[in-house]
Amino acid sequence: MTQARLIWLNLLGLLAICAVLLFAFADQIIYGDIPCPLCILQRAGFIAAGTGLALNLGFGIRPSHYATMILGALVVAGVATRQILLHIVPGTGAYGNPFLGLHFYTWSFIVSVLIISGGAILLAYDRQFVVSDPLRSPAASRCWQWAPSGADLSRKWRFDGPALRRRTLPRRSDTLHALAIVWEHPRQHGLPGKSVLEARHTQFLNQCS
Amino acid sequence: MMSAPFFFYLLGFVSILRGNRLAALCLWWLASLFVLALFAVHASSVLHITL
Repeated sequence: MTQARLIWLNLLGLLAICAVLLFAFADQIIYGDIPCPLCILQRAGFIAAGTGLALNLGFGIRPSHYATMILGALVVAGVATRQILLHIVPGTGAYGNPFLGLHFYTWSFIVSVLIISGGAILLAYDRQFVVSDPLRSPAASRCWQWAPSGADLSRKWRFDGPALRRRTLPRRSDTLHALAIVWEHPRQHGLPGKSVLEARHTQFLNQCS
Repeated sequence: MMSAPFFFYLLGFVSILRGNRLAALCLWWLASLFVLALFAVHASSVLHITL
């Protein structure tokens, strides 16, 4: 599966979570189904799961972002399980209006299990993590074994645009920018002199050409 | 108290839009701790009533 397709899957997941929350709000406002404290905690868990997907879209796909999503879904599952157990005993009634035969907390548990499963399936695609940061990708590390991964490079990449534009190889502008930083301040990065850098730059250009 | 995690999640989304990943993650953890604390309060009260 290509990385662009995974980005689209993340976007679809985020839209699905937004739809779940909007549906809950619509039920609350239109039908006057006031949420209980456990329902509110489930909504917070859904937002936590959606934050992981938003992080993937904003900063590139990373395992830690998927972990954020799965942790949020686990909170939802835990709270929903608690609420299901509250009403599972016959004669204890239920909370809220049912939807398609199931109450909202039961749907919440089902959706949280789907989110956890989806997160595990998405995590299984290893190739998506290769190029989230071109300066730290395998291709870049081959060419830039001496390049620093300092705050200046990270800051530059952070403002380089939305993560929807992913690349399979470091762009020439990225590599030249990193080279310019190292070239101007080699001592600060604990690097050898410029003559050695010149030789490595030539080697780098040969590798990338 | 119940609105605190939503406030922090909102700030986290603003941080994502502004491009600050560290702030977004910190706010996410802060909001999640609030959620867990609220759930713990619920669980402890239930345990107190049950026991």
